Amino acid sequence: MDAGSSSDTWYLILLLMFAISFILNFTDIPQRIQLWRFASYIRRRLIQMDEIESDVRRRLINYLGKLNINSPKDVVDNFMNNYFLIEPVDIEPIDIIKRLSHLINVRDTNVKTYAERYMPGIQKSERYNAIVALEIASAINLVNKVLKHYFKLGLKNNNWVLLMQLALEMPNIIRIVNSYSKALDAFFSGTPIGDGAGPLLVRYLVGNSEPKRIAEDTVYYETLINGRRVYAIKAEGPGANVGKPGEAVEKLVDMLGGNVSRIVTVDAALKLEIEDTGEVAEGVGAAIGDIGPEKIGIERAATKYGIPLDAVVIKMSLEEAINTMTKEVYDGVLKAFERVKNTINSVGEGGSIIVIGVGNTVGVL
Amino acid sequence: MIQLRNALDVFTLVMLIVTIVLLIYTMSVMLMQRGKGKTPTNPKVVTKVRCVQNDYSAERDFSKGDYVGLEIGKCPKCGDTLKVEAIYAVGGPKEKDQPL
Ligand SMILES: [Zn+2]
Repeated sequence: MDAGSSSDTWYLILLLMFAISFILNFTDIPQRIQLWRFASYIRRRLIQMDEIESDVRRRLINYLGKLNINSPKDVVDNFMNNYFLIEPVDIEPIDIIKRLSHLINVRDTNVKTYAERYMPGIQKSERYNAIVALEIASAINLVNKVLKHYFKLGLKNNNWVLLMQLALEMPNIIRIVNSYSKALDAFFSGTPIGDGAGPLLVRYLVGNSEPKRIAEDTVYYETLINGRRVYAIKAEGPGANVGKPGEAVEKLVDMLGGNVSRIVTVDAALKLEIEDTGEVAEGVGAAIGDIGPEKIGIERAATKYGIPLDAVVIKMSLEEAINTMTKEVYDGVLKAFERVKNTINSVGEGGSIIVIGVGNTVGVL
Repeated sequence: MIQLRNALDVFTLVMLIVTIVLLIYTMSVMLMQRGKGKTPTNPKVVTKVRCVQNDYSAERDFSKGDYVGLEIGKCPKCGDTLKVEAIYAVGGPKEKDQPL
């Protein structure tokens, strides 16, 4: 090799480096490559989503088939895509809660009517569990559709920022969807879930006293604990159901003429990443995770008569909240139970107190 | 021009090493991700029963139809009602704690 050809090689390498640097700095090609990479990543994840969705469908149809329901496939298909709820106008806030709760009630009734029509002769608790299972399958179906929508939109407009965001969010979304898919088993078998911490605590509080119905799917118990009259509210079990605790408290407080020393709400709360499952914390306010009507019902009842409103929460992750209750959450319930008993004792003897066990009462009578 | 030729060889060698290292890295990342998904430790669901007189309690596997508050039979000690006290899952997959 002589000197000439060697410097030629160097010249070529330099030219190549210049060209590459030009392409990297002054064209969209790197973004195109990224777009292509993110797209193929999302595509793989969407296949995973499809697998989860069809698995959920298969298990649901299988479950409904075991309940001796005719054509379970149609029952599932007719439920999907239907039963959405359009939120009421919110630029005119007068009576927005009334309108919202009306719409929620109408939707609830429609879903229950649907379930009664297609699942005749099935125990109520079993039917309620099936409704939640249908809702889960429908939610997973919706998430999958929305993901595909944004993916297509991103590809269509070459919007690499949208695709990048989607790709980065994908693992978290899949994780959540997976835990919902797992949650189906809890509703199929009717075991208590983490979110049932509140109702379970009420069950331990009321012992053998008889339930009295106070609102739709909601009951209250009356019992004496250390000379204090305790009224405990929970959804009616053991079917999957959250009841109407807000409406129940409003009615109960009015019934007692405001003669209540304290109102205590007990609920499961999502923990921060650094918190431990089963931690119990106390605070002030209505511990309830609904979109409005029930929470405001509790707040209004307390405010109307100036009753102190306490909150006791049991910390857990989303997965733990919707899946079969774990031992850690159960230990948290026992801890919260002691806290609530202390609160009851802090009320003067002869006083009365309302305890609300907020959450889904599946698997808890 | 012996030196330049050596320099070129060194350059090729470095490129070759970098390529191999990158390849190994990619493969190991892919293999690690594949391994992550395979931890199917199904939790066991247990039902805890207790006598209403509080003199007897036992644990058994969950069976469909159990719910908290269900009367499940007679207490072997005093003959009073046995009730399901709790249902919970044990031994589920533990969440890996990320160090701060
Ligand atoms: Zn006994």
